[in-house]
Amino acid sequence: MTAFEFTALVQRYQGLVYTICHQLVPDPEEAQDLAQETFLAAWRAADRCPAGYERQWLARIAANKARDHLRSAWARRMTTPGDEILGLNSAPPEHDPEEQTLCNLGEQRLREMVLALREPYLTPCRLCLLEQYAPAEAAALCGRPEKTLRSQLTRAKRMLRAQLEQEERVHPSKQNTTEQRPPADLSAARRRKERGLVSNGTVSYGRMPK
Amino acid sequence: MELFRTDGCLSDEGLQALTEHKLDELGRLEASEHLSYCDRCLDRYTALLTGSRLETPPQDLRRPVMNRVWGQVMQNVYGRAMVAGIAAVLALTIWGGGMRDVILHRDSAQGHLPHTPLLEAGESYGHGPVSKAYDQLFEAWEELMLPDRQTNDLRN
Repeated sequence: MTAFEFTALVQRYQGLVYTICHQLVPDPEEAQDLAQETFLAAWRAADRCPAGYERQWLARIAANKARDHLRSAWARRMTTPGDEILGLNSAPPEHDPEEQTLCNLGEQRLREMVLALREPYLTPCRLCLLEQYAPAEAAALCGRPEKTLRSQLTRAKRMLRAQLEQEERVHPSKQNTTEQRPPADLSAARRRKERGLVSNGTVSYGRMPK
Repeated sequence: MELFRTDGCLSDEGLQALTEHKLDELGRLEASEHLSYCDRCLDRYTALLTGSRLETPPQDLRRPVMNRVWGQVMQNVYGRAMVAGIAAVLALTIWGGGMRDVILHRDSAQGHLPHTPLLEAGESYGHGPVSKAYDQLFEAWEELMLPDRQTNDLRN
């Protein structure tokens, strides 16, 4: 693609790209930066653009740029200052507070809470927390990128933990009843699947791979 | 308002809310994650962005984008030129530092090389005959590279 052709492409689609960026990232300056980043990435990968699909291709790049921006902003907000010093981010999964909370939860209660989640969290949690699929397998099953599935799983665990904490504040006696139940074994990957205890629910896994 | 349908795709109301700037940050993050891999929803979404729904950027993007593209191209060109320049300077330095004579007169110099003992099978590094052999090898190189040393030593 020549510089002249690329300039024409920018002129034609700058409104679309800026609109997508601005609708996903409300700050106009950040949206404009993201729009520029989008076109720069498009220039770098111009050879890979399918002819006649420039609109969808640029829209996808803009959505990706906005997603990365929102994801890092969300992660910054969710990380408590000082976590880096304590090494909490690199702690093994068994020391992850969300994981510990879910492990202490009864299996029946975990199932209820997972099945009450909304999309896009229901499918990843159902596959990974209840049916013990590895994230890569779950991502292939529901047709989502593995990184997306992992971040959805992390957010879902935070939501479940926040929900539990809220319930404990409202009904403090519930803490005792959950402790009496057998704990949910999240680390025993595939054990239940091998024993044939996987439930065949009616919830769709989204886009199944062909 | 449900942002997602039960099949995992964005709902019509969700897309509408997105175009009207009514989603909160989590909703926008979820929508962008979904749009980054779902072709159907991306098509539905871009189909909504026509006519008056398209926003105009506060500044024409052509100039800043082309400036950045130009900067990147120059960075690549200058980067390669700099690597080539450093390589040329290094080559000239090595060439002018005496290696030229060694390379050009290698055949004649080989005749002056003293016998260098070879490492025998089973011999190990460290003390013993191997380290002596290396000492002799280095001495031979010193004689070759610093031929005036002996005369200087004699003068002193």
